Amino acid sequence: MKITIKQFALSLFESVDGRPAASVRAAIKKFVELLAGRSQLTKADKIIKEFIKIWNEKHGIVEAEVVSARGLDKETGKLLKNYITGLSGAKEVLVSEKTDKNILGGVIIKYGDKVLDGSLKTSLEELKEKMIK
Amino acid sequence: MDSLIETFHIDVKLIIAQMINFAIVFSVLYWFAFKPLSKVMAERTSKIEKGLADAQKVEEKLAETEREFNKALAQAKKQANQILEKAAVDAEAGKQQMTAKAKEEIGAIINREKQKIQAEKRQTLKEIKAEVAGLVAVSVEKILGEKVDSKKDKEIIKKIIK
Repeated sequence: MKITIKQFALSLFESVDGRPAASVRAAIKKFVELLAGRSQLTKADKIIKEFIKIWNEKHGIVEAEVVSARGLDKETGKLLKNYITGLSGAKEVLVSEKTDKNILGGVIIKYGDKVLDGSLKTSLEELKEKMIK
Repeated sequence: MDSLIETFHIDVKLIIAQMINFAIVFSVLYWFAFKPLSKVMAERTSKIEKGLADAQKVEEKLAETEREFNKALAQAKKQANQILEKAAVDAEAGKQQMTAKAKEEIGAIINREKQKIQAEKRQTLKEIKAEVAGLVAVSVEKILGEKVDSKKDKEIIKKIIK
């Protein structure tokens, strides 16, 4: 029977969730052996990604990406994290920052399947569109 | 009486003979001349009367024919006038129809041209707007690049998440 990536990830989650560190290590070892036995090690990356997704879902964790033109200082980063927490309703938000000078200013927030574009570049594009209409 | 006969030397026998002669001559004349002649005359008279009557009939017929001819001519004239009037009315109607059609076609052409001009105008305006908007965007982008520093950027981000 063919096991899907999601099924592998789910079984890994069930075998490690809420267990002590030693048990977790043993479970992971066993899981890797299982993958090797089934010649599925090439799918390890995808399984890990799916595992993280399931883990975050079950523990109320949201991964967010914040794009700014000049990078964020500590205060702004914290404000953004609180803002995303409020928006997503998550227990915890893991923010990864990216810098892109092309957005000119402002910020683009991505989490889950949502994108909040508050960049100056996009505002400028919207202004341009309005002027043309 | 006898004296009278003697006086005038009247011969009774002679008179009687003459009377018989006259009667014979009269009869001969009557039967062989007068009667055939009378018959011929009667026939001739009849022929003439018939000829006259025929002539009268012909004259009447001619008059009647002339009346009919005049009537037919009048009728033909009337019909010709009606045809001419109808032709004139038809021609007028055709003329009006053609005029209306021509007006309609001209109107359609004008409308089409107007629409074309409007479309061209809209397109030109759109292109001008796009050009201006592009220039404005480039200018604003340049200004923003120069004017927005980290401090301003922070303020902008704070405003967004407020």
